[in-house]
Amino acid sequence: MRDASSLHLSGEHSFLVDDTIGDLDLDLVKSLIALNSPENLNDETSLPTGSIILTAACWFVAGIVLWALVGFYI
Amino acid sequence: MSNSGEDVSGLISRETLAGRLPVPGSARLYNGFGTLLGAAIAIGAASFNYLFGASIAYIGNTSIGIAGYVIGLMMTLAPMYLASGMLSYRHGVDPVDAAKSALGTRGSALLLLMILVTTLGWSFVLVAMTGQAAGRLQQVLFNPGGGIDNTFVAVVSIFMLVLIWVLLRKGPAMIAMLTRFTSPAILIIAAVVLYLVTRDVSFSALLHTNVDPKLAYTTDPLLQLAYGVEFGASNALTIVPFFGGMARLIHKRKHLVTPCLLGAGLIGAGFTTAVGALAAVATGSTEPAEWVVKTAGNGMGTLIVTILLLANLGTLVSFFYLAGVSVQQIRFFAKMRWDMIIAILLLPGIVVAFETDWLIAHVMNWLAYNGAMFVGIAAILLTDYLLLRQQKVLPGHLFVKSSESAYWFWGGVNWVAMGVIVLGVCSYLSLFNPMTLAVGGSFRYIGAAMPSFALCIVTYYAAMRLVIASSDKGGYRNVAQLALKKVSVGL
Repeated sequence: MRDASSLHLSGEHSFLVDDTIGDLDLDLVKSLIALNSPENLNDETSLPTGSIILTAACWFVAGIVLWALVGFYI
Repeated sequence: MSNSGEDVSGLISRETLAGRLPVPGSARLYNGFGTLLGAAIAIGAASFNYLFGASIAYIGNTSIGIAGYVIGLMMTLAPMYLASGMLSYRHGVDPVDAAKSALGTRGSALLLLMILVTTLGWSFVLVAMTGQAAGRLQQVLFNPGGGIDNTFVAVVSIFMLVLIWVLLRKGPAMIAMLTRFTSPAILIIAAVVLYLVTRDVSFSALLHTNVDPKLAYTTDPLLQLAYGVEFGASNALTIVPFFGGMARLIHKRKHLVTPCLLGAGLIGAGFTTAVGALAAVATGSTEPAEWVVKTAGNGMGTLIVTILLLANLGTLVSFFYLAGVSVQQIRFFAKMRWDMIIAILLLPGIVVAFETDWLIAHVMNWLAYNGAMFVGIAAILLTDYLLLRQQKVLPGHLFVKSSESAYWFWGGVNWVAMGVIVLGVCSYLSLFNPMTLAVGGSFRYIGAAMPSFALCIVTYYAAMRLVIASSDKGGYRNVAQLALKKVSVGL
């Protein structure tokens, strides 16, 4: 049986945790809480993704245009 | 507070990068363009590209085939990266966990199955090809005119398996370090091979050298171009189950698409496949070990083939790492030590080592259907995350295994998604059969992957809009309330 005080779960979260939780699942809860930490929410990975979509769209359109151009050329 | 922060950080460095735990932004492995480019090249560049190159040559027009292949990679990889990488990048989750929001808590097992079949299938093909190439080299050097020594092939294959296990015990950091050396090696070898095949004939003349028209797949230029595009698209579709595993380790937004597309697509797959196509028309041989020795001579040829075989290690450790992380979705494996997981995944390779001919002939045929399998899944992942959910996914609910999960759908499976995956397979195969190369009427203008992808997007979007309008299934509505709901999570 785990001592509940050893869980070190800080802040508010939406996970049901009791002292029977296994090591792997406790690691998971801590990781999920870390995802919602202010530090992670301000990280680049949590910022808007418009530039990613735009970059992908540019590559896609470039491929289509090249296909059409080569198709006309041959 | 600071202690708990250190604990989390310590746990992350110890566990997450080798397992399924979500990776926060600060713990991402790929921070630089160069490191990521190298890792992407390792995934895209492998020996089997030289065999694909021979297929490109047999399209009938070498230059049109190569152009089409590169175009197919360009236009297909970008949407595939969005489909399979966006959610994993945002929340640092494994691709199978990420797919739960679209396929359902239990339905994502389909992706797990496909990841395992595809990664292990391609990896064992590569191990078999490495053994065969070493055997061919030994035969050319020491037994000219004789046959390949199958015992030697088996010994080399098993040696590769042991080497992969030793390297992978160190986790993903070893992949980053290894690919720093193997990726440039693959490219240098491809450049050397290109030099060798253009030593006596100019590059331009070789580019306009074609296989005998009687052996060509077609003589229609538009159809030749469409075949090239489709081969490139088919290669790009195989990234769908893998890319989330890489995206969850990328830190910068600007690195999610371009370095991966350049590395895995244009440089890794595109350049090496083009060199394979040119070597095939230059030498009339489709066996890399044979044409390298033919063009470079015994001494230099041996050195080149040896480096080529060792460079396969970068691709192999990347593939086995992804399979090892994915298989931890199964509780039995999640509790197991990392080196044991890798050992179990490598175990079938011992049988492969003794049956390399059979494996290359049969498994490669089956893997030709990769494109058909992944087109529907990619369309669903893209539509679900970007259009239906507007990029709002609850990472905690991806790890809830009961009907309490927002992504439980019907019995843990999104049956609408399953239907669309079947639709994608039927649509793709009605336009293009990768085994017989039979094509539908519209294929020469639009190929097979893109129209099937578009059909799946429209169908899935319309069907799920009806579901969302009529029920609470799938966690599309009341997301803020669901986020506050207390849930039990587990790996």
